[in-house]
Amino acid sequence: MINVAGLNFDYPGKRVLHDVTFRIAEGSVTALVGPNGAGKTTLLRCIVGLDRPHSGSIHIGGVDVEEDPRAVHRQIGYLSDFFGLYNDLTVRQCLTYMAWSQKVPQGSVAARVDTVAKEVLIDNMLDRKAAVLSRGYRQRLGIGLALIHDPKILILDEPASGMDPEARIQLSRLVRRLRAQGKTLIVSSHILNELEDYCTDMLVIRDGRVAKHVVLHEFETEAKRTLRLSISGLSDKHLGMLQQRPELVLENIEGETVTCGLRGGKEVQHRLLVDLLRSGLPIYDYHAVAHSLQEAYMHVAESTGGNTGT
Amino acid sequence: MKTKTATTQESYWFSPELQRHLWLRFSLFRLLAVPVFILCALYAITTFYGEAWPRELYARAIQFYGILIVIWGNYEAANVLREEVRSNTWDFQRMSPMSPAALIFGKLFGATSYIWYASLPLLGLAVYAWVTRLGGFAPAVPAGADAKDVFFMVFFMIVAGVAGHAVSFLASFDGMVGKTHYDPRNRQPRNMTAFLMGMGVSFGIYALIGRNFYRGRGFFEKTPVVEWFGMTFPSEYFSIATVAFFLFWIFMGIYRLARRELMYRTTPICWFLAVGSIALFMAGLVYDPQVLRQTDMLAEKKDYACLFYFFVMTLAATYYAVLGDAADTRRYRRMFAALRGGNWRHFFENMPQWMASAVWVLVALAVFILYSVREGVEQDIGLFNIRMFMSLALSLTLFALRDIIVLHILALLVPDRKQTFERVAYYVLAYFLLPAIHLSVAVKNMEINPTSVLGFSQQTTLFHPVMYAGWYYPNFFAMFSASLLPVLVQIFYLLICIVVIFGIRPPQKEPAAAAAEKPRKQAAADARDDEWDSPA
Repeated sequence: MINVAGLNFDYPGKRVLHDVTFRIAEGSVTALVGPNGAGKTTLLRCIVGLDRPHSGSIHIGGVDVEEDPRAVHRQIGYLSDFFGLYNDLTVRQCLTYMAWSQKVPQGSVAARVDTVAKEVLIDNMLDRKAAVLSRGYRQRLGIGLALIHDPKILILDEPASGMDPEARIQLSRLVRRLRAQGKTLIVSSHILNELEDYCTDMLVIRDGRVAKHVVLHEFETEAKRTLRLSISGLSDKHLGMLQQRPELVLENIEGETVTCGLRGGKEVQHRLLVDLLRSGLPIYDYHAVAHSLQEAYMHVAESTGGNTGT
Repeated sequence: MKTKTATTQESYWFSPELQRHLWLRFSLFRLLAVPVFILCALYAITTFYGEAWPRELYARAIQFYGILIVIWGNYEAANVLREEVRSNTWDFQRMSPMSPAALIFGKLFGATSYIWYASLPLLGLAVYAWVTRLGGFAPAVPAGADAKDVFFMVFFMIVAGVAGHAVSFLASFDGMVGKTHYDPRNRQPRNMTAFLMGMGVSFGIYALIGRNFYRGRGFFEKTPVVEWFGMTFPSEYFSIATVAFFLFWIFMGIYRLARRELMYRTTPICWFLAVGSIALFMAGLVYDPQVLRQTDMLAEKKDYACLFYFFVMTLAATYYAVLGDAADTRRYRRMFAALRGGNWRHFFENMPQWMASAVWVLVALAVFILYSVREGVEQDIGLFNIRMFMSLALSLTLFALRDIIVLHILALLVPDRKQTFERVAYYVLAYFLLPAIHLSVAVKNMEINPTSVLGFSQQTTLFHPVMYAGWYYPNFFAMFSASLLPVLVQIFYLLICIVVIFGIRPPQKEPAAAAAEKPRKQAAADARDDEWDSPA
């Protein structure tokens, strides 16, 4: 769906993107992560055609961004990290204006405005001026503006910034709904925990280069998980039984709760539980946490020797 | 995979931008404010001035019209882009499928819509006062008014607004786009200069032509006809044609900038045609006796003067374009890469504007030189002869070329800065400090009073102090060795400098734009394949 090849971008006297190459599949949700100043925003601006790279190519849906940026824009909704709103217009006017600008058919503008407002949960604010909206609502309106022409691809640069926890959860749900509709998303964010809820891929940018492109479900099968076992009357015998398991690494013991590292996917986790129960281990609580995106990012950060300043 | 997107059948001119400005600018209070203010003013004027009210009404209406159009209108037109960029909404518009015409129309007339709403009734009142009553109160002016005069007055008053606002908008837009040549992040419109430029145009038309029209068409009475390329036209109609001509190019300039910002493909063809046609239009005015008086040097050779002015104007336009273009070294890289890849469309898209208008300069110079030779280089024109005009034209071209090379060397040497300081330093050094030092030393050593040698004799040698001017300034010395050789030597050394700079700083080794031309086609093919292969 998105095909970037050999992309180089310069600001005066400084190369910001170096030979960036990657592909993003249709229907995926890609987390774009990397330290501050890594070139994430510049990369997104190049993808949407707002900035022109020095060399290389970007194809979206088979269309060359440099050759025909306006055709690409019809497929893309973009919310920049420092987007602005027309503060003196109401939310409805903002959405209507954007629908007209994006050439939504005249007869369906009102319906589209209502649909998008409901989708981004701002339908109760339609007659308020944008200036009086809270940060979270402004962010929702921004996403609504990017969605108004029903683009196939949505690119969100730091969409959760400034949102309260409730708004972040709603953003997560919105992204999942959009993915279910078949849209392709790229989301740049610093908050890995939230990205983990909805991302299928992760693209790590470091110093203007692609440090790693990870397909998360593939990574997940090999990811290290944290396993918490609560064992009634925990004893050395029980610990010995756990230490015999090659897939487990004991990390901490607190009261009757043992924290272990588990290497492997869901299959391994299931097999372990069955085996431990069969061997008579009195387990009364079993909890596994897979930090796949965070793990993947840390793995990349460690392998590239950089800091993890997301 | 090509996506089919929903598009409306709306007019190319339908402007959401205009609608947005109307939402912003027309609240109920603001709508009512104008008629209330006008009615109050009318009541006050008719009450206070008694029988003399029509004259006062005319004067006040025209004054208020001027204030609204000249000051407020230009302020709004110069700031409309600044507001957009400052509030970070410009990118939304750049990514919209809005047409350039809709964008321009919406922004220019949307931003000034309230001003027109307030000022057009004032113009109507002024016309009413003039047509119906004014004559009785201004003894020098006959009662009533000729319909044609009323038309001209209204036309120029409206043009004062439209032209000025368009110039403000154009200058602000051009300033913004010019800055992005250097750094794409630097989208800051030039609003104060733009405001002053627009105000100058508005006030010029308003004060010179429109305001005093009722007093007897002063401007057109003084100049009843205009001669252009030997053809005679009534000045009113010539003025209308002139206004239309310049308005066309102002709007074309805005349109071209809007196309660029909306990411349409643009080539310098518009600049090329604008420079050529404006220079031609202006050069044609030398035939008018008001422009080139009988006492002027070239009055007896108007064809020659016409050619010379055309050349000078195209050279000036080219020089102006270089100041904006030279800093963008990335554009040159893309242009040369396209040239190497044989991609002519990319080549012209990345061609700097100055190169396009330089074609006019070269053509004009060649025709001028051929014409001069045909006329005979020793033929006298007043105190001068044709050889001296040839010398001046060549010297101007070579000095411009020298500066163009220097500006590009500066861009290569300090690519990470705007080069403003370096440029100012160069101009001060090249045009003030070095000649001042050189001439003062030469004059002192030769014990010559500089005022006594200002009569530039053709007999003076290359080593005469006056001839040192040939090293520093465009000149019309009859001796080509004194006039052209010094600047040719400078150009030669500057070209060596460029070779040395490239030698020291070879192009970066990462995939060059040239190489990208070929992989681009391959990548496009890959992307198309992916669409077929995509599991989704």
